[in-house]
Amino acid sequence: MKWSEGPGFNRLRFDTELKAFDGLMSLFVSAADRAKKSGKKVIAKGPLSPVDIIYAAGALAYDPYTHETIVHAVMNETISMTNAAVDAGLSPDFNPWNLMMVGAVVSGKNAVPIDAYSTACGCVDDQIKKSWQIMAEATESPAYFWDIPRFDAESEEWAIDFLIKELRQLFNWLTAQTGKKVTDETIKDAIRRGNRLRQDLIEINQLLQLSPVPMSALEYYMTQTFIGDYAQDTGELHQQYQVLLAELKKKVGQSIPAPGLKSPKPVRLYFMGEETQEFQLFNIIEDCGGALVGCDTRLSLYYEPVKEDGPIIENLARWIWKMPCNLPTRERIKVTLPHIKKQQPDAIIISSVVGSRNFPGAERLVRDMIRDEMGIPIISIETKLPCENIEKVKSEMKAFIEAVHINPHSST
Amino acid sequence: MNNNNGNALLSSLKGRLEEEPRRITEARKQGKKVVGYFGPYVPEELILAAGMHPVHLAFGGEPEPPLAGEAFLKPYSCAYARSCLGYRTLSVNPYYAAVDAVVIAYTCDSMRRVHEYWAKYFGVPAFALGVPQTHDRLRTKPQAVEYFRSELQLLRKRLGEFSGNEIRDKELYQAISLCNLIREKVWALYEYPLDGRSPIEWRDVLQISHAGFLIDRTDFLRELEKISGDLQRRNLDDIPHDNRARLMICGSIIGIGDHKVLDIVKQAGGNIVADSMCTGAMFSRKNVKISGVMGNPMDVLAERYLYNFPCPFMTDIRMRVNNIIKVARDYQVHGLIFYCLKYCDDWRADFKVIKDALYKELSVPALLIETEYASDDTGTIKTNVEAFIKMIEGHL
Repeated sequence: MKWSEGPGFNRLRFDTELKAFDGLMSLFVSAADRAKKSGKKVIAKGPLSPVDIIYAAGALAYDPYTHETIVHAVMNETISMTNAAVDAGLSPDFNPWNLMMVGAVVSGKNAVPIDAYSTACGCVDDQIKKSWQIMAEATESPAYFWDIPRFDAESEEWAIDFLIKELRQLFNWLTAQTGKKVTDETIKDAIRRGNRLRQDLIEINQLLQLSPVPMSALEYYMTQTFIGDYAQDTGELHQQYQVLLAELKKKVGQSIPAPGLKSPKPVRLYFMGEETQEFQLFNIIEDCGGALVGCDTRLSLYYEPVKEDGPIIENLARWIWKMPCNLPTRERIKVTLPHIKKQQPDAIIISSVVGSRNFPGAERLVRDMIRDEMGIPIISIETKLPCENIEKVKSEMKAFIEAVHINPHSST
Repeated sequence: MNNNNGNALLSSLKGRLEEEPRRITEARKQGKKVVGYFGPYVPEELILAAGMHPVHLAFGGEPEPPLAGEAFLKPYSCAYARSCLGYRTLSVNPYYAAVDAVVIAYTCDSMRRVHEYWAKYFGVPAFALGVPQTHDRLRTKPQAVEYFRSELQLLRKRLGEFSGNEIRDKELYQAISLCNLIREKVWALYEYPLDGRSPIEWRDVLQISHAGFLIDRTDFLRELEKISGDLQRRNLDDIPHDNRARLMICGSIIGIGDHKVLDIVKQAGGNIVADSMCTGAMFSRKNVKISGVMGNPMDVLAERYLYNFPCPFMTDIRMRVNNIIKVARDYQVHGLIFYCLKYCDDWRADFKVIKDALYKELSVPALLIETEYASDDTGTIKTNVEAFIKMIEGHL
């Protein structure tokens, strides 16, 4: 079965003209086969836990939070799996990403086999940490947690020192899992490869700064999610991103808009906050006369390249400490704003997932700060499992985009 | 102990507690600053040593504050976290209104947000305290305590600047000694229900302990001495053996004033004798070691506060489970009430592990109660608790 034939994907409108996207999706769905054939250990990591660390140990990084949910909830619509997560100890009030992932893993239906669990703790998301504990316990797999300290300019000295020591211990653990020694050279090599991908995404975003927007919303949203685990193949993903960039540049050269766009002058929307599994939203944005010009759900993983010269673990620690997702909201917005402004949005969508506490808890603060800084219309939306509240989201988006068309400077 | 005895025992303390808001107002007029804090990782010794009055802002149980807190946090965040904001917004609680600054430990997702909202919207300085999450009972991560000590040092500096009094070691040792005495006395009270003939109920001790979150600590120590003296004078032989089902409670924070579940358990004939909660016995569990060879006071503070009882946002679940099993064994409990505020992810995800371990080790069953502060689920909880206690009594 071709990836686009999944029953859930049948609901979605894909850009069939964008050939490179087919390559990216093929990479996504072939993850399990490639992981098995590689003979490498697969380490499950949280969606915003940095990836280079795992590749530096000669293992494959895998983001089951994103991958399992897209495969089971979005593509195949097998959402009953969430029951297994509740039986395993998760509250039904957890967010649906965790419920789907844990459900898939504890019922042995995960798309990619997992050898060990390791993820960052700190300011990211408590539910991830708990899900990792439950999955490791249920599958009797090794688990390892490492800590990212809170950001405070005055605590930099000891926070970085702490993080360096955390990373060193993490590398020792990874070495024990893989049997491959992590050295400065392997770390540098992984970072160099990761930086290439970060640069690819920065360039893809640059193309979305243009008008007409050359890439459809759904394809862009999915493309940037692959940075979460590099699709288990850094080199192959880079190659696919390069093909995509070439295709998009060609479109830009010929001023060809993305085929999904329904309006000759669409409202330019920036999507920020929490990743949604309601993928229909991205078609709806375009159906209502909008265009997606940027997204920060994975920005933390490519907000800037990791410095390659000098003490490599310290460079990595400094980069991790300042990842936007690890910053308090005020600092997070300060770091994110220049990225948002470059995309020249007319309006902002702030996304929360019902059941999450991390980003939704900051939503009011984000809204107020973005309004103060940019003065452009903002809409806050909440989504759940696919199709669960799609009609509500649809009406809200329609009304919002219409309102922005009429009065582009209003704030919602 | 019947209620009349409890009331008589606590009457002086209750009277003192009623006076506290007025005293705080007076003290503030005289220039004394009041610093509120959230969470068991904030050493109140630092606030005391800076010459300020610490208030542990741990109120809960009222339905209005969490509703008001929804102006900031989503309705699907825990009622306690929402209350931390709602009490200040509503101005219904004199303690939240009186604070000149707050200290908030970076623990769960919601409490990190509570810090951000206090800092931006409530017009008082809000100091954050970083707390490591992945350290363990085997001390395989010495960097955790090094980091925490540095965070405490930063807090010490900030509180000193805020108060206008640099915190010196001498005052800090005095504050530690005072808090140690308080902890020892409160812990001794929590130990009474170890025996089936206790002159004081666990719930009264909880109430005493909660009063100590608010009132002047020297006065509190004096009140504790009165209570301890009174209890020591009682003849335990005169107290009939309590044959009710012995229960332990653990889980999310039981805030000051959060009576709903405790009332239901009591009405159903249960006798809570022990807990493993951050606003219960765990708050007084361990002293700051200043006897013997004294090092830097920040070293001993970091050691005590980081390695007391691991909150569920910390990854060392085994230490948590072991502690709960130990308390259950020591107090010979027949059942565990697992109190979980709805949307308290960290505790909720631990329930199955704790339930299974407790049953495997001690054959002690556990009941999960997920609730909020509104009363609409009282009937359901009552039915579940009654059935649970009946089930236990059937095995006694």
